[in-house]
Amino acid sequence: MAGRDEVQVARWEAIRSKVGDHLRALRAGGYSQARLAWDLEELGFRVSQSMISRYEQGLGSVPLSLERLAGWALCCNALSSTDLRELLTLAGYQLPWSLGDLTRFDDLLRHYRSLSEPDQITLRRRLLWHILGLKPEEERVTP
Amino acid sequence: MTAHKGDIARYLSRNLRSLPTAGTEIDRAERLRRLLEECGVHCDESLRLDGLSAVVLASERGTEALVAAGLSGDRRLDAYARIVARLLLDEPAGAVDARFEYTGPLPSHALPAERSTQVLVNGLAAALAGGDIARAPRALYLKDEPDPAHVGAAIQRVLDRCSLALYRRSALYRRIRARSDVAAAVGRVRDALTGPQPIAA
Repeated sequence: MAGRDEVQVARWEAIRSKVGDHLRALRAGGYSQARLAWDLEELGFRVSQSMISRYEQGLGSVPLSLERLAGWALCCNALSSTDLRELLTLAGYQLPWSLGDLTRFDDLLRHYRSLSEPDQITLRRRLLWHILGLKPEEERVTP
Repeated sequence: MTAHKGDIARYLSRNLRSLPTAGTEIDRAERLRRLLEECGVHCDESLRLDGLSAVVLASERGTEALVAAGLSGDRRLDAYARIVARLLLDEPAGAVDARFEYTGPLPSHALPAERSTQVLVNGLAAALAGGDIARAPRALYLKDEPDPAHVGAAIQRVLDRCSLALYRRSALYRRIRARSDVAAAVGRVRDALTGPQPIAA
């Protein structure tokens, strides 16, 4: 925790158990931690299965960034869930979308599930940039 | 530039008919790509896609056309023609939406409305890729046409609507309508009713 303010550390200590509860609730419906870790890695995050486990138990050592929370919820098809809203409020973040918009994102993600695995990964990556309100990055195919 | 969604279809409609049709498949695909970029659609051909040739992804952050990397000249032209046809006929709506162009037939779970639209997209894309948009009914690609000012134009509008209705329902009519001699005959009827059409709208 080097480099982090005392207040910042104390705040995270105070909320991390609740954050864990909401993270666990996001991953409902038989979606395994291993699968979530794999999906997050495909999105470009370095989040291992043991990290997921620690965060869900309220033992995460540092606060999750907005990008990680959005990616986490995107993988769980839970962008419009109450749990994500409460997580964002707890962490002091905000996504630039209304609840109706986020429901549309979830609907679209469910539609993606019928595509092949590589197509799902590509599209989820692109969608993440839209969710975060950023211009899509250039992804180059390596020859 | 980020165009509003309805603006994209209007821009394409206005400029499509004046697009040069000469050149190789690579040239024509490039023209369609430039046309899309002009109206604010970000095109990306760097992505690995497996069962899809293209995707139109739109949100309040903008509209993207994702084309599978490494397509051959004719398939790349087909992909761009499909994207243009899709944006004219079935523009993504709402806060976020996507339209998929599959490399094979539509998946079994596709809704009847998706199948119906796909028929129109296929027809218009084939006409675009073939370099003669007149081989598809005008009602597919004309947006915001002025109200008919005289009887001939009013008759033409009725004919356009009938042609579109028939095109939706009949595979035979779609095949006949795609023939260049039929497209030329339709053009002559239109000229007789409304006067010769300007090349650029």
